[in-house]
Amino acid sequence: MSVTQPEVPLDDEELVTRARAGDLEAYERLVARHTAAVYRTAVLLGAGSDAEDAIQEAFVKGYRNLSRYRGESSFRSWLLAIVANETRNLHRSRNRRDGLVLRAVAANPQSDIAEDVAVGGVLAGERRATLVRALRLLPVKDREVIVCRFFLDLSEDETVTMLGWPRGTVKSRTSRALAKLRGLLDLEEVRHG
Amino acid sequence: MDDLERELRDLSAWLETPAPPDVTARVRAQLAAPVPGRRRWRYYLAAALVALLVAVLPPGRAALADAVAELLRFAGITIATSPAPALPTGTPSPLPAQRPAALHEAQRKVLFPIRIPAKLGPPEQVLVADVDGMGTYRVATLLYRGGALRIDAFDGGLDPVFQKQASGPGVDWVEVNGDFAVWIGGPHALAYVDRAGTVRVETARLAASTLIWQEAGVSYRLEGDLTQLEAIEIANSLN
Repeated sequence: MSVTQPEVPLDDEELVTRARAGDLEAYERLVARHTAAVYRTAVLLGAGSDAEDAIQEAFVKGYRNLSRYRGESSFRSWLLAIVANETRNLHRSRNRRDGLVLRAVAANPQSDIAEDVAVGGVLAGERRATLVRALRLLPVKDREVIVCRFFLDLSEDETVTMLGWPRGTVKSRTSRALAKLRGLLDLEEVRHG
Repeated sequence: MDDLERELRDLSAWLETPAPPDVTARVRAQLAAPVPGRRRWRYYLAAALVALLVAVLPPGRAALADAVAELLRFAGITIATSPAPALPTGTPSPLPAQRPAALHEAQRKVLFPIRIPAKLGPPEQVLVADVDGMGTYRVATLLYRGGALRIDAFDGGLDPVFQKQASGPGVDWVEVNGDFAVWIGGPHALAYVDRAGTVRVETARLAASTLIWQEAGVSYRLEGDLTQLEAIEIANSLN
């Protein structure tokens, strides 16, 4: 954003190296760069109104644990793992089991229907609502892997880092979650004709 | 990629998340604070250990003459049984930076959960005091009965080293929720050691009977015109 710096923007690894040496400005740039992704992750995993606090805490923890980041994964996925953990802690402390996928979406299909007059649009909106209803019925871990792979668009590697599961588990959990989701959707179709 | 996977990716665009907040400044402020990580938390605890100082006035002049100065520390509270005139020498001032706050606002301003005693219900007023550079307050006070009854709560753990030394005129060891507590049955001067280490003595009023106890890392001080039993009942009813 700074126009006065003509040099090539530093990549994450370079900024991490500087931050590790105590350069807070470098870390600040990392925070600015990743805030959107980290925030969306917190919201999609169900942090709700606490998302802002959760990401602040995650960034602070990230800085203090920088020595543990060894660069085997992208810095972003390493950060996302921390915020995912913060969000889980929130659930634990509040005893709120429902992820937010629930709330964020709830408002959406309606506004979509209201604004989109085309019949196709209405159908698409209903389909999205159905999809969301089905997602809500999935167990938390299935939902987490779907959030990572499809909503946050993380690679398999990044998902491994983010959820801290072995690669095989990520793979099998993804296909199982999709299969469950398909089953739930079929059920809905039968019910609604 | 099959249809369902494509649909999920498409759905992602429909999952609205609010605009991300800018937390860089707050993260930086938190990181620039002197002591990092766990040690920072310990620092809070250690600071709280010297947070309150209670001077117990010996009951009579004879006792006063005989009184041997003695310091007792309990959580953030120091109980000093010593000749009365020795202590209240600080500037008469209340808790530093004390101000009223709505309960939910107060809860955001302190690092510990504010608990309400079921026996008393919602407080008439809530005060927070002793703010640091980040806007975090160290003490939360609940006021009842027009301010005649108050509960101060602040971060702080017990210092077990001093547990056994507790004794002295007007001081009783009692129990709150199975944990030990201190009951000070009579009026006493009250001082507060703030973040800077300055002793602030509240000479404006003598504290009424006071119960001091600690739960889940938070120290509580209940003060008012209460019997020991009433005070313990209130303390036991914290939600």
